Amino acid sequence: MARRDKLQGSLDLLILRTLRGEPQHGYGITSQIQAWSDGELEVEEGSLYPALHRLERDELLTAEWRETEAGRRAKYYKLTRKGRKHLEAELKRWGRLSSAIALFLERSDA
Amino acid sequence: MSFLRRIRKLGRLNEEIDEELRFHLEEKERRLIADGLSPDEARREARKSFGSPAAVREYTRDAWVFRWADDLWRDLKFAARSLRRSPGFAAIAVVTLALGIGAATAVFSIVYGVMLRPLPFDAPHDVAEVYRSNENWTFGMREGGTAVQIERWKANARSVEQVAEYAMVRHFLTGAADPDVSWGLRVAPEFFDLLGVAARVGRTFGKDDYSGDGRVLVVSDRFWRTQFHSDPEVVGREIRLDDIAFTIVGVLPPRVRYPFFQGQVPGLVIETWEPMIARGDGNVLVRLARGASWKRVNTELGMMLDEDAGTSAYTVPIDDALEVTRRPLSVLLSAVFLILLLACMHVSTLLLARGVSREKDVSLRAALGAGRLQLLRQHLIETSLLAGAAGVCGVLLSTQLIRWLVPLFPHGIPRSEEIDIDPASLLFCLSVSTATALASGSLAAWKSSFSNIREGLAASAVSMASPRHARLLDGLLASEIALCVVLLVGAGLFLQSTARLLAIDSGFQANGVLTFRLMLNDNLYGDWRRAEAVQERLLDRLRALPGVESADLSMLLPLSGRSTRSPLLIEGQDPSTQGLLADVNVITPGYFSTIGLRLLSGRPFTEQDASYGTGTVVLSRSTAESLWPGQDPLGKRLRSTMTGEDWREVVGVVDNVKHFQLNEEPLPKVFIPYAQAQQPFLHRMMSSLSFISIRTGTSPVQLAGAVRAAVHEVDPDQPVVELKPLEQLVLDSVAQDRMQGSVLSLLAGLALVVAAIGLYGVVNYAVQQRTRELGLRLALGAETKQLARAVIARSMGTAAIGSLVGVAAAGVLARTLELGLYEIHPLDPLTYVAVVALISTVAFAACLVPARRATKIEPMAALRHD
Repeated sequence: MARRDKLQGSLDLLILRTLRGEPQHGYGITSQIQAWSDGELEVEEGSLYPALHRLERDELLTAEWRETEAGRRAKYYKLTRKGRKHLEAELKRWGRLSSAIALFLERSDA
Repeated sequence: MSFLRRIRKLGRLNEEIDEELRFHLEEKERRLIADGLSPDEARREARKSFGSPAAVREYTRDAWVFRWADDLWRDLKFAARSLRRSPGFAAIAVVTLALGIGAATAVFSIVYGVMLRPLPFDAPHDVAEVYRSNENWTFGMREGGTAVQIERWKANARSVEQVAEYAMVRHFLTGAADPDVSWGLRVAPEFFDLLGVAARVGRTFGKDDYSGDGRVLVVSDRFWRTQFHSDPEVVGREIRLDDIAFTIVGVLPPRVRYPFFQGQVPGLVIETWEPMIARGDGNVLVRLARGASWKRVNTELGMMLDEDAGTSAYTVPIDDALEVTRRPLSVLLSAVFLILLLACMHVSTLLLARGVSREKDVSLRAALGAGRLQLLRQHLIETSLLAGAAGVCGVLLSTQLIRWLVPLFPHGIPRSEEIDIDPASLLFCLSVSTATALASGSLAAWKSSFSNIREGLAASAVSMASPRHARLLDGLLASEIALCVVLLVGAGLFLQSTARLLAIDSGFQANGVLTFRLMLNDNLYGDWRRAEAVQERLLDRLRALPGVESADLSMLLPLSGRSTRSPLLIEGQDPSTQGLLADVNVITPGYFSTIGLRLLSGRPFTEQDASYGTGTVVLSRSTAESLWPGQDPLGKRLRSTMTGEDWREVVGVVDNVKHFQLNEEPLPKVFIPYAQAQQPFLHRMMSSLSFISIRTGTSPVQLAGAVRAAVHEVDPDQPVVELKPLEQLVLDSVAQDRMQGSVLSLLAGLALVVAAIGLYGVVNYAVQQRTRELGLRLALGAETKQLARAVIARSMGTAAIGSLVGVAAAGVLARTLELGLYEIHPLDPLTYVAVVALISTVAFAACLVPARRATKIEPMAALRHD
């Protein structure tokens, strides 16, 4: 995820999807994305935190400071209702698009 | 998020982000240590992938600080990058836009400076000049007021709030490195108050200034800059005018001067004001009383005249002087409008042509979540970037253009001496740039927002522009060409009008003649014998200069804008009847041959005319024909009432000479020998009104320095005014046509270049887009020539449509605008045909290169072309 601007749309999607379950802090989100993508997608901090704060500003996420299991204070992000709706819409869109691309690649290879 | 909450958030934002990032780093380190790294290694590793925490904090913070600025910055970066990727496009767009904006800003500055900038006086609509006229006065003469009338108006007139008289005065700047004549005004105490003018440095006149000797001076900003190098301590300094010391009391603000316009008289700009101590006749300014009307003022002031029957008073509001500029400037304004339109269309064309090749890019962005609005913004930002760069270049360009354009101006344009780029011009430039960016950006965005994501991504396989897109492009190109035709036709008409004016036989040979105006200082040469002595010394000195064939003195010079019209009386005519009005010119014997005026019959003046028994006179052909139709005028006698002298015998007839302009009917003229004009009246006239003409075998311009030096040898304080070739006077007389022709040519040339670039770009692009199709046709056996023909035919079709529309529009415009053309019909077919031929040639040339490229296509490579 080196290109912060160009693929911003997709970074947002990844963040939102990660937060569909439990609230999570920034470091947790990067670990999750890395784990789920078998290490293929690595999110740079320089992209992650601006994105998180932008999503918070746009009220797709809320945040609160909480203790971690190890007893450290960390900022946890959680999906808002608006964020959840946005995520569902984006997922649908992405599904349509990726299947269109897959279809296209399949046919143009043939 | 509410505004208040956001503000609170911003307050502790930095600490919060820092803590968040610190936590992130520590977690990462912990993980790395758990993976088996040493604490030191883990620390380094975590930092490495993290980058600069400060930068991360800034970016994160930005999300809160400027939502818009954040997006804008990102868009700007993106726009800059995408422009960098196509430097050719960016360069062409910026250059053509800069040319357009520069030309528009320059012409606007001129129009604004002359016509639109408000007069720098209090409520200028309420100020007027008062004149008296009488139907019996000759040739529509008008006068100001007499001292008595002015006093009466001041005391009794109710319809005017204030009355202030003034009189023009000529000063010789003595003791300066380059002696010069400067024009000033003697003004009544009410003058500055009436106009509502205050000094920027020092003060204007108070009561005390009128009780002394009146040797105090208020000067213009320009005078302050040139004579005193903008000295802030100028008040109290002295300057010598006509060898008399004046003390400076004030400097007026820039561009504030009254009168701001002195008719057609070149170089006459008022620079100084001084108290009018001795009240006398003068020009009269009045300010309208509250609730009064000019009609009432005319009646009231007229009733107080107490003069011959038939004399009446009338007022001319001072802003009427700006009316003379309306026609030439409205032509320029229309041209500017067209140029701007052209610039917008041009950038749209380029954007659209490029837009197709970027369709994939745009679709990808849309796929990745960019909304329609975001795409529109992206387009606008890109064009704003282009227009911004072009605007900056345009302003720089326009200062140069102004410097080039203003000297082309006719003298009859008021306020042209201080035209410059000012805040209004900059504002204009800014709005024009913004409008250009908006107009061209939204067209391209509107187009691309229609492009369907799937279609756009799929386009890579087919690689062909949609027909709708192609139609839009063709339409834009055709409009560009139409605009081009309009501008070219305008330029062509004015250039031809100018050429036809210049082709008129002026009656004299202007080439090889240098002229200047000789104004003698009354303080030095008040006695006519001394004046005559210095005039003769000057002529002798000039005749001795190497390269000079002859040098002569005359009271008038053709096309110099001066006139001495007065009635002639012929022998046997009833003195009570109105005589023929003729310009009386006093000349030295060689004058006719010096300016190349043809002698038709009789003889020219010789040195013997001084001792000739009776006075002699030479007539112009039209004078002879109207005084003695069908008779031989030689030997007949007449006299001029201006000189009020004895009868003069006609000894010669010369050809008609153009006097005010080249396309005038011949005006009556009589010539009197200088040697017979030895009388105080004529000499007084000649001290302010006389010219020296010098015929040379070499270039008159090169002679100028030597002439100046020779004059200063005779008298170091003698100004050499209006030193210029006689040919320049001829050119100046057609300055209005020339100016319009030059400006329109400039704009038309610009339009032609812009249209050619657009055509080239679009055709080039079309060939690229159709590579696959063209390759296929080649593979199927089409001949390369056929392909080239197809490519060219399409562009020429567009050019033809554009030309047709342009010809129609130009015809309508030329007929409706009052162009003031000389001997050329606004629908002159030759002009239109020539313009269309020129456009077709340029269009053909523009698509020749891309067409050749089409013929070089390798069929196999083309079919694999993506």
